[in-house]
Amino acid sequence: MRLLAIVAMVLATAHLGWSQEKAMRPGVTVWVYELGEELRELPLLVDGQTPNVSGYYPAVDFSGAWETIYNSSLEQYYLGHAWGNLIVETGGTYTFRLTSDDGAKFYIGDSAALVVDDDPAEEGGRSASLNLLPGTYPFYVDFYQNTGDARVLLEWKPPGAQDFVPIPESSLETEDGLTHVTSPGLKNYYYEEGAGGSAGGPGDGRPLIGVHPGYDLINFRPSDFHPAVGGMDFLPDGRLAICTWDNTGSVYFLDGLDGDSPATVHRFATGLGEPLGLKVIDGVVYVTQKQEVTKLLDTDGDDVADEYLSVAHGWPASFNYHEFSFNLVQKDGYLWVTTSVPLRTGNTAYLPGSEPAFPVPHGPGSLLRIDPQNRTWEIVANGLRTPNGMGVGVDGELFCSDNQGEWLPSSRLNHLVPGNYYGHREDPDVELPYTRPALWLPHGEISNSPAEPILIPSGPYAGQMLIAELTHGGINRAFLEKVKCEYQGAVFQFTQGLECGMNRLVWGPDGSLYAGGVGSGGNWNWNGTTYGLQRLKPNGRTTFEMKSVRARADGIIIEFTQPVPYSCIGSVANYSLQQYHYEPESTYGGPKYNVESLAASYADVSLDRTKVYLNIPGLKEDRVIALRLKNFVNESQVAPWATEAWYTMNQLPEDAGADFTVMDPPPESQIPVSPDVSILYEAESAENIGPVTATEHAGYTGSGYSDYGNAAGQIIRWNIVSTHAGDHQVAFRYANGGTSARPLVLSVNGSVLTTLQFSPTSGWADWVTTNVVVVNLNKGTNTIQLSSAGSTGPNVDSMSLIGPSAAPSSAVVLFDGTAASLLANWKRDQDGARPSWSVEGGALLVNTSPSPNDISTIAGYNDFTLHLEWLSPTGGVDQLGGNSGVKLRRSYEVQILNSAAGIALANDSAGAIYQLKAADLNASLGAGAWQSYDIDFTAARWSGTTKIENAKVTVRWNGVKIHDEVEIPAPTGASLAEASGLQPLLLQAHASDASGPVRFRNIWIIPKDTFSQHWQSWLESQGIAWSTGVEYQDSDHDGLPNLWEYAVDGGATANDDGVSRMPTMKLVEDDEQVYMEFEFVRRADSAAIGLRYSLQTSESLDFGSWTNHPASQIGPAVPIGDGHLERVVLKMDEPVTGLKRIFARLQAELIE
Amino acid sequence: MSLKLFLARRRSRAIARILPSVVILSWFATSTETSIAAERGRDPWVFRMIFENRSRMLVMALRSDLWAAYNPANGSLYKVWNGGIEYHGKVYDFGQRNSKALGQVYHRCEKSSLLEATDESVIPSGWTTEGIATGAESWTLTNSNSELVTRSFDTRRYDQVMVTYRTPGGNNRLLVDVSTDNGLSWNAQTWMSIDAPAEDGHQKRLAVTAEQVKLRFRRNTTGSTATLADLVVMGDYQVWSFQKDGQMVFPKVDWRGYRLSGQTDGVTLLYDLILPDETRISVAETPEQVVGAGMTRKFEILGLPADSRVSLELDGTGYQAAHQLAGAGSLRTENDDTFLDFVTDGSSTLTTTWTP
Repeated sequence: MRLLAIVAMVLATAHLGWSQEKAMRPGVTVWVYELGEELRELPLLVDGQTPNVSGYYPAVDFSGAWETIYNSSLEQYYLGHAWGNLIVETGGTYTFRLTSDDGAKFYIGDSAALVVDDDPAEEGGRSASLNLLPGTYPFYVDFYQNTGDARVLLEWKPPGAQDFVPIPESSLETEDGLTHVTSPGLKNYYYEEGAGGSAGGPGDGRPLIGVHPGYDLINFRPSDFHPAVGGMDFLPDGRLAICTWDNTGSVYFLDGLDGDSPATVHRFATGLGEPLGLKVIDGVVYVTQKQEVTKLLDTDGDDVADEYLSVAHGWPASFNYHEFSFNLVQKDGYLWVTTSVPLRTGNTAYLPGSEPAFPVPHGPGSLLRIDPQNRTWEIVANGLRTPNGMGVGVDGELFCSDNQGEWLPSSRLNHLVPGNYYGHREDPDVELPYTRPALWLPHGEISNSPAEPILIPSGPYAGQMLIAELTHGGINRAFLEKVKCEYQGAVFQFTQGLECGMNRLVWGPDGSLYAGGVGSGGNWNWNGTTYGLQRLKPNGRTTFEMKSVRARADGIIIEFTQPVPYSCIGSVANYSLQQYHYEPESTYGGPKYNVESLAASYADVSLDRTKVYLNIPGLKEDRVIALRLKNFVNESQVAPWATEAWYTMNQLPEDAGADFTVMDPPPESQIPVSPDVSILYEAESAENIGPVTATEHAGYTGSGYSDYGNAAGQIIRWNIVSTHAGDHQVAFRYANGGTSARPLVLSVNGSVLTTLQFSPTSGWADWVTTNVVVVNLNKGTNTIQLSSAGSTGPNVDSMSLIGPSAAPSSAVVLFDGTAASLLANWKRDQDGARPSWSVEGGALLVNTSPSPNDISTIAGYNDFTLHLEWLSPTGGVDQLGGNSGVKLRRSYEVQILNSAAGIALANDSAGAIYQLKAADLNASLGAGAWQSYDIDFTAARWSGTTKIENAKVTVRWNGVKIHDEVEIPAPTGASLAEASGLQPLLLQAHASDASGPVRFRNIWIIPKDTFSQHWQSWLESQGIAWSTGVEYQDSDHDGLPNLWEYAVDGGATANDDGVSRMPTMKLVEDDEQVYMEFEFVRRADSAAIGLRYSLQTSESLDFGSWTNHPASQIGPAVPIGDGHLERVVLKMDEPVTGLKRIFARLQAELIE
Repeated sequence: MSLKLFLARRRSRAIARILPSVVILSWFATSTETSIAAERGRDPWVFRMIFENRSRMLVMALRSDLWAAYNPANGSLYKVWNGGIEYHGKVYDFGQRNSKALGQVYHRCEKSSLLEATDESVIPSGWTTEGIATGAESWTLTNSNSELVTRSFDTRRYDQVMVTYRTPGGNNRLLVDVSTDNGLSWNAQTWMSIDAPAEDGHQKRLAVTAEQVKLRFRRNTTGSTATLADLVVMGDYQVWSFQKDGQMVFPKVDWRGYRLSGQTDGVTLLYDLILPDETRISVAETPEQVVGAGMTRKFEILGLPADSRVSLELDGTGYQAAHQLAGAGSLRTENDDTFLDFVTDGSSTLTTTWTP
């Protein structure tokens, strides 16, 4: 047992004097999240997800599996979070001991006054001590489990005690009355350091972090005004009216919204009962309270409400806390309000019998239409659950959001039409047809508790809608279209970075979007926030992201906000697609059913490269299509703001294909391009300490330039992130209308590099760019600054940073300019030892001794896309001229040499597939320049130990294609013999007389799934564990072994969808000979996933007696249905005439 | 080893700021017509909330030690008491219960509930039982033939009758049947309540009405234990009645809202009584505190048809009430019930004082 002795003084607070405190109960609250795969350490959970298990427990003392409400128990691959308060009665030294399997951490006190870290788990647990004064201390324990035994135990030794005891229930308390919100399915996670996990970066499998770049976030509320916003609207005089969902139930008017000082706040009304809707009609404030719409009148002109008049009241409701009345929308002369259903700690309250099962039926979960003239109300639609958020959206139609729970497997956006039933049952056993949502909002990925939807009136997304999001935080954007007269469409992440989970939205007179937030205890909040009020002002900047996704009969059309390079938008590999289905169930939330991966078979791009039509075989109706972009950038190398979209495909339209003019793929460029990229950083966006942003002299880029004042030491500081360590170049764009040079000191990461003379230009509107200066950057954050040396400086517009490009997000980076990446990824090929090549200035230098000193990757690869940059210096003759090479699978070399531009190339010059084929074009940038290879490689295919297909390679040299799907029949030169399986990359250390060593930088690889990995993924999706011989087992006992089910897209554990997958054989006569013909159904992408079909015969059926026979396909493959299956006929080449008895079979084989 | 100072704080949430319920009292005794208000007992002092299992109630803190709650659904004064409120609810303590009165109850509308059985150590009078064990916390239905049948109650003068009860413990499934013929038959209405946490209660609206309604509680066959506790049948009693030509009817109450004068000077409740022929009689009621345990209620009646009488039933449990009336109405006692009557439009001020 290791003792970490941390001794600290802890002060308890004085009682704060609140007369009301949160309701508490003894014990702890535990949330458990299923992650579904092996964890290497305690992971971090992606924000905004709900747990699979939520409940109260008497102590932190857990072992074994967790029961879920989804008819399964959670035994392995999960993360748990137990939390509450520790109650300390007696002051003194407390020692805490944490024991776990597989690992856990215990935090106590705000800002983790003490952390006991038992990850990895240690025999006997770990302990630490803390001096505590009497009081209550918030704490939590995070724990994770892979497989095998599971244990978490938190013990303590109070002052004076001899032994550890489990912390008793009487010393633990947690919030009472929590709604235990849960949802099934795997949750997303990542690690604090390093790769792994199921999520990418922000906006890519994870929530966004910041504010949408097209908006400026403006804070205007006074810092001591903490509104929990239940409703918002503007008064005719421009003031903002809000109502607050808190224990005063007030209406406030805010004025002075646009000034430099915070707004003023004036209380207009108070004492309303949980007001959750507000609307200003003809200058009068109306609010929705629990079961009443109230009009507030100021009759004596003192700007305080004197009359609280009931417009409509008394619709059926019980006293259940969850029967809210939400929203207040004015449309068609009526007022519209929604209500929610009663809950008993999360589950719908049902008392089934001779009446409908709600405590008070015919009211909760409804849409009410109110006639304000006659003061009457009418229920016009029902089957809603918690419709917190309603607004007029596209086409002037009414839309509401609804929150996940029973009968609602995921939150959704509904198009409200009187007469519709939306699915939440008033009687648990009565199933009725229900109206599908316009949008499903997949739970925990984009939404947990959607709130108010609002139409976007102008700007680049005009006609779309924004939806406030309460517990997932932020605001989402929705695009809707009509297919067969019903609304469906796509939802995108839009913004985070706000101060609270958002509840209500309204557009202000200045064109800003005002957002008001709210939050409560337990899971009913975003990051513990409970109030907020901010606005987002459009700033006119275009943000690169998906603008819309539309459905076609056979695919989708994505439109982007900016043009995308053809190689990116036209590449089907950059679109990851999945479809699944939701079913309303009585459990709280529901899983995704029938999850299927989809693949685009081809892409048609529009002439302006902002739209792409993806042809997607296998699309089904009543599904959600989940789309994620990979390796996407616009023309300025900027990644999309968010990479995900979820399209609700209730129905497939009739029209197919692209609905725009399709461009021809551009011809391959024949002009070599340096691998360096240049990134522009505006001076006005940098940290300016002294210089001010000015716009007086025209010709600047961006929104201005930095103007130095009259003092030394004024600074423009750029904080930049570099993905590659080492040498970069910077140049500055400036103007100097003075008569003498104005020097600025250039510093990088705090060290002075040099003083640059900014010579006079021909005027203040004459902008020029300096020569480049070499700077050495770290991987990660860097600062580059210019500070004035004298009493003034030039006007600086921008800085250009030139250096290696960033690797795509899905790439494995093999070398990034750091020695660490060399050691982590490469070994000395000869003996597996540490490589002895050096790293200087961010470049990897070839070291030829002790020979042979090639290096190769520690990992092996099969098919891949590879990018590497190399520099071959001047000097040396022929094969000694800066010779090196990259050997794919150690067997196939692409030559590196200092071959000059413009000369004729041989099969041993730069760019050659060594001794096999010279480059088609000379794309050299010359000796001493950085050059790039982009290599798409397909490995040889093997059947057992027999090679059945050659390796193939496509190579681009400085962006120019020089080899196009060239077959490589044998190892090149003296390279290693070919073999199946994963093989490393090798960089060659070759004898050379050049003026210096060959250098490498910026090496990354994107491996493609091997056929075996694809097969394993399919097994997992069918719920079959891999074992030796699993391909021959018949898991669903339908006569088809598992590999055959895979090959024919049958269900290994479910019924096939009406198309027989059994192959049939017949004998055909042709020219007096008899031949065997097999007809069978297979996946259209069989070849692409490594499936090979052969005909075999045997005389005896004995194992080992089967022999292959050549066969030919008769006619083309005939697509079936939507095209993802095809029917094929194979005819054996040799006749079987005269044979008395023969057994024949069609074999499917997975090649390597 | 360094010493560090850490503050242990409660996790900070935006817990509502509620002013303490004790404020300085300062007021001047004056005529009942224009009583100048004391400092009110809360800010806001007039507010809507779910109160004692009734939704949409209007509560006012007339004084720090004089609180009144009105029920807008039936235009009645539900309760008057002195000790403030124990606040519960999502906007108070993030909890799922609702608020209730504290301290001494001066007045509780006499017929605000039809049946209350909250002492489980006895079988209430008028009930019939079989196989029931009493206890400190609950009645237990000990075997599959156990049943509790309540005494009968008359629902005809009530709207929104709610049956509320608890079933402490686990695995409790009760079958509840309703009889509208004093227990002869049991198929007027039926339901099953399933397990609920002990704190949480069950609530079901009665869909039937009769002079002799009874409730029967039995075990459901799938539950292995069954308990019952805190049975309360509540409803909105029709306190307002209207008589013309010897016919008595009970008008529907349409809540119109309320007016505040100044911010804390006073409040006037507004509601209409709707007669069967759709004629509306408007009522404006202005409650105010008087020194000690007392209240004035000024009524203004408008639209009363000729030759008719509208009455408000005043009775309450709690302290002994003494009424004094000034103005257009009159007081009447009939069969132990006290009424405030109006036969013409006009205003009348009722002063009620309560003594233990």
